[in-house]
Amino acid sequence: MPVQEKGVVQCGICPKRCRIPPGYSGECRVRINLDGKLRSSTYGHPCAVHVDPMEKKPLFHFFPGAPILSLGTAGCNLHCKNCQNADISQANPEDVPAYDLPPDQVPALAAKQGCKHVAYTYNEPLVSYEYTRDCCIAARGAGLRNVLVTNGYINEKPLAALLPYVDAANIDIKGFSDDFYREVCDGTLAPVLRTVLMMKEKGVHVEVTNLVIPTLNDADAMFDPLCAWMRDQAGPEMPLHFSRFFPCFRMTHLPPTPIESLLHARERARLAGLKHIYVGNAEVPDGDDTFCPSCGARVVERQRYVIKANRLKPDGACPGCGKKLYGVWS
Amino acid sequence: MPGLREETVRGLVMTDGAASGVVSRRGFLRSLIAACLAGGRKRAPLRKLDDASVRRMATWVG
Repeated sequence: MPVQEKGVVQCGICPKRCRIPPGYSGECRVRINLDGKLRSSTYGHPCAVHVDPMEKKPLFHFFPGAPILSLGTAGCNLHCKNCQNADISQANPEDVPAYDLPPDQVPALAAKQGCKHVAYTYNEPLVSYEYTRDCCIAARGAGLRNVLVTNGYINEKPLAALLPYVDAANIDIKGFSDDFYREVCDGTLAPVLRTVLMMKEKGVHVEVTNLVIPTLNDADAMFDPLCAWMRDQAGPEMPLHFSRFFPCFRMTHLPPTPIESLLHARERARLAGLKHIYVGNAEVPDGDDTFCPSCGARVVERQRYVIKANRLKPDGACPGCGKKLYGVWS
Repeated sequence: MPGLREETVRGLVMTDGAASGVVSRRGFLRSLIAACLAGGRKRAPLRKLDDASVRRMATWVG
């Protein structure tokens, strides 16, 4: 809840808790102080509306191959130097052409496009908290499922209020140190980890993405604690996606992640005991495929975002050994 | 006004008599145009949703 003092309002959505003078916005550029009241300038105005495959989020253990209506707005509460969507995430909402899409129109649009799922993605959906929440409520009311693709940088209270309407999430753990978050993302690690655990506790299907950036977070000193935390806290079955970095935004001086680094990361995760490890944004053998953690059978074959074969039973059980895989499959 | 120097103050092209509120005709027109352009930049226009663009996979990550 915003705290008001002398016309300044304090935003309570994310850990930055911006104190916003009248006429100004918070760090996210979205949440503005208009006449002493906190408003979201992107409400009802997504700048990106597309139908993507579920694998693009990426979610590999949640309705494989399903089309998902994906909405994004301008703005973000982090400022990653390597942001691949900086043209919208680091833009002022008033500078980005947007659509008029009130929450109550989202279910009809999803139905028209043949989607049973709605994703809040591309930028950080939690900076448009009220819009995301109202869309989630409208979508859930129409029998649709909601997916967040998020940096997880949100306070406990607003997150707890949103989670009853959220079915699945992909959360970025950008690097496993506060130094990395401070220097590269302008954030901190602890709230992100708390979000992963809160979502898991509330029954949300969660997958984690870690973008591997050469020289910044590609050392064992970064991989090992991440994998150990995933194993011990999030659970060894929670999927972990290592993603390949490409130079962009304010990080054009670094090369693309060498494939060897991604393979090495996968090996460290295997050694740590994680069961479902993927390598994305790169042509890597088996990088996108799902294997049964019990018998080792290849149960889902993918080529980038396309499902080439899905041998799982409808309840997610391995056809060979019957082991039920982590996820929501149908 | 002949003989008076024009100068720009916050986008307004004013004459030396700015303090007394005197603005040249040319300055006024320039200011009007500038104000119109600035007004046009205040908010990017809303776009209309069309099925073809919605069905296309996004180029943004996520």
